[in-house]
Amino acid sequence: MRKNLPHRFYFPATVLRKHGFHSLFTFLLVFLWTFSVKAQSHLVNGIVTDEGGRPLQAVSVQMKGSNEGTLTDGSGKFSLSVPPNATLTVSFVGYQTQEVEVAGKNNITVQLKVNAAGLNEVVVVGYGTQKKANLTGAVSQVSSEVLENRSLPNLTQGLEGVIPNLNINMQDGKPIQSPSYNVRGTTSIGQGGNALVLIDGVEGNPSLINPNDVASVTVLKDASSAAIYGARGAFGVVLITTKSAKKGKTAVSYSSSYSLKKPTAIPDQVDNGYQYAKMFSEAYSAGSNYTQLPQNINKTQKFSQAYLDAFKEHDANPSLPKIDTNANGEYVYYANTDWYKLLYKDHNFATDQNLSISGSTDKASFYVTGRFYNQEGIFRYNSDNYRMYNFRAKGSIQVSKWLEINNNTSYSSVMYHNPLNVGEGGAIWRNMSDEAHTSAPLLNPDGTLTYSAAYTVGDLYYGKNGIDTSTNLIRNTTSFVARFLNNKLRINGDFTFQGTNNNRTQKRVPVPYSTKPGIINYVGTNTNDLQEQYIKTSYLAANLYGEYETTFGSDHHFKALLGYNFEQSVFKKVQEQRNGLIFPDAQDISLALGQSITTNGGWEQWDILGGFFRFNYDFKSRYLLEVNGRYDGSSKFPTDQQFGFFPSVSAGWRLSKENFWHVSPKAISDVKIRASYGSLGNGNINSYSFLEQLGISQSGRVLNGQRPQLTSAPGVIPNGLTWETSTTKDLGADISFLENRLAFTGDLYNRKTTNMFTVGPTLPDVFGAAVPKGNYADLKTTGWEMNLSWQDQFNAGSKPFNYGITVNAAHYEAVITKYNNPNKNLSDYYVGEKYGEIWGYVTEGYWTADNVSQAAAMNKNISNNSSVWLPGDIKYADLNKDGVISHGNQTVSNPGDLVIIGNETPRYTYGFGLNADWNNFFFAAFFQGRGRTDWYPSPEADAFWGQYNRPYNAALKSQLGHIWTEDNPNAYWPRYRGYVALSGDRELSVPQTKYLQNAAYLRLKNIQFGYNLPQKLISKIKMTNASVYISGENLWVTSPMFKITKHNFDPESIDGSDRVLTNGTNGDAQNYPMLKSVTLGLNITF
Amino acid sequence: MTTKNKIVYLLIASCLPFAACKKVLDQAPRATATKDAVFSNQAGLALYTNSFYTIIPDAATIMRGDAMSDYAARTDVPDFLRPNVYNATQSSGWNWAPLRNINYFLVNNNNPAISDQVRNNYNGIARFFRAYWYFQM
Repeated sequence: MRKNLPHRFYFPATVLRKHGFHSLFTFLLVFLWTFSVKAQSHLVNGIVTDEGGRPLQAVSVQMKGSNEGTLTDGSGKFSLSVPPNATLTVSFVGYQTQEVEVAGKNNITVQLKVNAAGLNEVVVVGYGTQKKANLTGAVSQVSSEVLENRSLPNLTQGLEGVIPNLNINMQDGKPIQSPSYNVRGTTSIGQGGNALVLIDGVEGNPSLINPNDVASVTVLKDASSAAIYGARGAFGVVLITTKSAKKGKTAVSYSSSYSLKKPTAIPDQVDNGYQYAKMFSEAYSAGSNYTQLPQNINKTQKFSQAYLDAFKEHDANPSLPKIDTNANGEYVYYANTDWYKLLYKDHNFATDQNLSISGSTDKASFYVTGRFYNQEGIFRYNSDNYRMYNFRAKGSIQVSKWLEINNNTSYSSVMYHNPLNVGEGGAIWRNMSDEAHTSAPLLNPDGTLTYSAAYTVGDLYYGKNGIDTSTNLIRNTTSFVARFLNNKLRINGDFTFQGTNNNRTQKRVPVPYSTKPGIINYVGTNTNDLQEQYIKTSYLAANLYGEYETTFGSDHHFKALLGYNFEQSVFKKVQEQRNGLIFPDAQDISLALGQSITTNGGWEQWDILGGFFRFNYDFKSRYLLEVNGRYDGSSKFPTDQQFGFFPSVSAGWRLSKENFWHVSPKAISDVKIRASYGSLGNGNINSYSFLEQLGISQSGRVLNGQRPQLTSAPGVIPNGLTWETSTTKDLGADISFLENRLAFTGDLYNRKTTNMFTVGPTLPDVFGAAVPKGNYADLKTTGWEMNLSWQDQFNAGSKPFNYGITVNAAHYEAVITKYNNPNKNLSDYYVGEKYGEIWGYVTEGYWTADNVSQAAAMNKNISNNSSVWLPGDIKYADLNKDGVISHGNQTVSNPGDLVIIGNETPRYTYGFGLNADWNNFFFAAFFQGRGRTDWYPSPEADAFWGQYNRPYNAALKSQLGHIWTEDNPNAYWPRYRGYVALSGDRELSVPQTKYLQNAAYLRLKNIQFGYNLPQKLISKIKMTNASVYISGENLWVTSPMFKITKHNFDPESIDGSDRVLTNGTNGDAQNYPMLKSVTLGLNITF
Repeated sequence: MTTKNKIVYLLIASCLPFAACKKVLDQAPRATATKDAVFSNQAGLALYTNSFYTIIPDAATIMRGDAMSDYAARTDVPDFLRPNVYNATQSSGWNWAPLRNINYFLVNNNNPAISDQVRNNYNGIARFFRAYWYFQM
């Protein structure tokens, strides 16, 4: 990553007051391109060597406080003209940077010491830090550099792909999208579970933190490094650490950026209304063997042969009106509407303004930041505006020689407006598939909405329906460190409270439309209501722990940590809804006067407490041992199961520290082998899962004139339930080569999740309840991850060119090793199943005129939505040669013609980046992707299936020319039929090899180019750093499936629809688009 | 008192809340009722018995139940009328859940805080619905 690069500049407040930022900016820009320096007189000749006196080539020698500098030649020599009182900074990759005062001398010899580069780096671990060299667990850390100069609505969106096996599946591009963090793949098929996310050591929500406040993100991957967090760390821990005050004088940093964003992919639909209508007619009438024409285009347009003929005429003659009226006086439309153009803006604007002030003295320090992030919505009407405010104040004071007290306060506020469609509910994309017909326009001539529009974009145009969410968080941590015995003993304590308010107001009013001049009707008439929801989560956490560190002799180094943790969270929800808004713009429930009133509550409390310890021992930094553990108690378990003890152990061997190790550090500089083992209970479960709960709901029957509330028998909870357990074995190596310029970290692991809470043995129907779940299943996840980084510099035009390359990759797969499914039914998990596998038919090709007579018998279990099979319909391989395509009895032993055709688990995830700087210019690019994931598009995935899903869906340009006809018998798509991808055992709905997509992708996640203004220039106005940059996010993506799908959707948003708001069953890829952006920004520190 | 002593006392004081910690791990849900809450008062019994009525068919089921008569137009031919289609495997079986629901009530309706008279009243309702359920078999 970029090192030695100033990113902020210092600036005297007086200049700012006089001229303001605009003139400052102009001033800086002018200087940026015009300055040149050559004013010195004193010539210094020197030589730079290593500790052994060997000359070092390409060492950077720079005058401190300027960009004046040079590099050493092949014999380690340099010469430079500087003022006689100058200080030279001598730096070289793999060596410690040295400062040398010229003091009038003409000849200088500099000896550089080897830097155990990266090895002295400090890594954040549970309840403390650890030198990277002494790590024995599987830990990855990235610094704030991965987040710099990017326009990020929230932190999670900036962490994708930067750490191997920190798996973040973005799903869609909503600014509030912040999916859960997964570490090392499949966790549990019972209770589930994700990584625990801690901010400054205390549980927190990463989507509410200011990304500019983040100093580092650390992932504790194996059980041994996570064990100190006990049951919540069963599937890894993510530690987010915020920045602290820098030593020295007060610094004010300001960064400002402006972005233009737009969707990465928009379905490219047939935009000619007549062509759409013709294709609709063909797809529809295929169902009746071309004997019947549709009478309507779904609900909102009338259809007939006469209409199609008239449309042809209107299409050929543009002078004819696009909107006509028929004999009944109803509107008839001959439009060519590009609905996505009406839905999305061409660009949406975002800005990020961040101010931080920090300073410190010997006794006290402070760090205050504020941020405003604003992202306009992408929708042209009723847009989804997003705003986020952050404030953080950190302070510390050294009360006495041994006591330091710290405080860390933060406030976050996020507001988002999500437009709604009341016509059929659900998200806009699915509604557009069903009713946004190319042939219908948005507006009638009198300005009213058309019927098609009212179900779709017209609802947004009307602009009254939506959900407004606002989240506010206040959090304070007060802590102390007491240092005794010459800092050998440290006692730490902290107390945190956090209040989160999640409020939400939903309004749904009917949308007016017109099908006949002067007559207004409404869609969504039964949803004229307002719903308000208030959720308050009060959380508190306290930690008290002591650390003792000592060295016996000079070789035995001990460290011990013992602590206590208590946490409590109380969730309280109130929701009310009432219909009958007295006018459509009503904002408050007092103006809802209807009789349909619903109220809901909600309450959850959990408490955890535990004692934890860690013991480290190392002998000459050569043999490393760490034992961790926690005695953990959780309120989420039955009384007799509340406590568990979770120990772990890890060890490391630094081979390169052995006496027999004689490999030159120029080739292999450091070698460490490490291994760990640990077992953790899964505490990431819902409260009260182990208790009988009698839910209360409203009856569907009228008793005594009203629908009463009712309760009924609870689900059956078996006796003797216990914790799910995850046991991780890890084997890793950290190796650095070529004087630490090349560093490798790799891990192999396997994680067994046992006693998973899943369905029990099948019971007879007379049991009268769902089969109770119990500790019945096991699974095993195996995988690896690696990180490789290269850092070097060379001489380019007498200036040092620094560059670095990082590559990370990870892979995992999971197998079910125990499950209650003795017949191995394919509809459920079974022993031996690879998690995520997809069973399907093998597509053989199309039926032809020669053999189509056998199709009806062969395909009798499959529907093509018609009673007749024709040439161009799909022929599947009859693998078991029984003359019929079937799924047998859907078991592993008798799967009929089904075989495993793929696996939807993302495999071979990777990221790689390059960064470089030269002569104050800096450049960075980061790519990220996955090597393979199989995807069989679900029913209603309209952007993939087009009219094969429902004939009135939009027709896709990507399919044109690739649809089977007698003249094009080898086309990718079969005979054009509607409803064949819609559901169940239909021709395209059945998973099959040909239409299975490889959703691998490679994305240019970020690319940036910038310029640091020269020190010489900015120091004149007392700045320390100033830079300007241009940065692009998600600018390019490629995927093997684009051959088929073109850019109809993004390969990362192929999951179920709009998971933030809905249950995701409205069709794969029917999602808020991923966004790409171009950002211009400025960072200054003064 | 020196600062050092104050801090030590503060440390000790901050540990006190944890001393009585075991109890804090016994949490009961509030947003849903527990068995005790339902069976300890008459309103709870009434609330529970309301669930028995859901085995009485609703209007749509009654209407569809007679859909083969000529007062409604169906979009498809019922399996019952198609030759060689209706057979023993056609039925999805009986639903035993309502019976379990009633029995759960009868087993648990034994809280002495409620008078026998009241409990028997609701047991009577339960027994009626159990008889009705068996009658429907």
